[in-house]
Amino acid sequence: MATLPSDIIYEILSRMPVKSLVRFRRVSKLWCEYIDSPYFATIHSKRAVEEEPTLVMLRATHDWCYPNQPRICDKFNSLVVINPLRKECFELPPMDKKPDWRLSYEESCGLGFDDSTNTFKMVCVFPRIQIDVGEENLDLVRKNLCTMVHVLGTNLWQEAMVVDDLYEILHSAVENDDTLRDYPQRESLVHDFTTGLITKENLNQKLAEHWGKR
Amino acid sequence: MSTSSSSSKKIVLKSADNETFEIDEIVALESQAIKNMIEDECADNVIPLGNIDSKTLSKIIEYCKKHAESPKKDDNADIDEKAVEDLKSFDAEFAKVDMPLIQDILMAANFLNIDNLIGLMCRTIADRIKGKTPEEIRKILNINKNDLLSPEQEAKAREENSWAFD
Repeated sequence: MATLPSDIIYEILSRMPVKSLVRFRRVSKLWCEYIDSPYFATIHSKRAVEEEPTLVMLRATHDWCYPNQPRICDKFNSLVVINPLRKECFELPPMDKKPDWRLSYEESCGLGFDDSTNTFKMVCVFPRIQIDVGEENLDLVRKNLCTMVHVLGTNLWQEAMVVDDLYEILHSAVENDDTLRDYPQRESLVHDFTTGLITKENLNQKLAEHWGKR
Repeated sequence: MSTSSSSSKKIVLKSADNETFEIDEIVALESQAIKNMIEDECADNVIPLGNIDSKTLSKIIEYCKKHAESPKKDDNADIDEKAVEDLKSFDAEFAKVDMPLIQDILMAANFLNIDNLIGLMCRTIADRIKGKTPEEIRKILNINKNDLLSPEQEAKAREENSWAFD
């Protein structure tokens, strides 16, 4: 049995969750080199986008590990995004549009990879005003949703356009652990990281439902 | 739309162990490498594949036949959902073979340049090894024992793992 050529090893590794990749540095020098190469980090993120086109909304857990993406940790009283593959660590800047940005931050955020710029982006959706959550306030929540996008590594949030048409979902942050496997389907929302457009109906409905049920 | 002609052109492939396989040209065209050979008119009656054994080659032909028969995505906008599902379950069944054969198919598909099959085999390998230990992977994928990390590098890699996940 011949040894697999390097382009094939890249192909296989690019389909691997980050959690495995970090462990697989120990397989051999060559694998360690492959996994640490900047070229690999990019094809891996792109692959994740192709294969799992869903944006997951993060919940208030601090130690979820993303198979292909950074993860969010609550450390030192600020929110930090960690990318275990690229060994990068980003502190999220504060957001002036959010009345109480710590409260439900994690529940309304998602990470995605923009393969047109090779950057990770974070999307955060929340009501512009303080609203008591509950079924009776669904419409109010829906009318006041605001969407902010942040490019990891920069220090600002920008408000994203919201449109009615459906856009292809171009990003991924899907859990690999079995217990969390069905989570994305339940709470995903549609955001095109390349155009910055979010599907209004889908988004508002999902978010409003989400807040209403809490 | 497509009418099957009984006089469709045939291509003969010859494996490393000298077994010959006669297949329709349309099936052979699933391989970009053979397609190029035919287009450049450098394909004789028989195409020798000196690095692919008959067991692997017959699997590859099985795959190409099925995929050549299935309607292509760009042919028809409202492609039959059932056909897509059918192809998916075929692929899933096709991949249910042991690791050495998977790797042989992958090497052959790489040589013959059959994109979909390369993807399928890589996905299969990735799924099968993602939960394994580095030691197991070395065994499964026949990694060169001379290429192991030094104890210092090994320690560093372990530390990075715990930095990210502990």
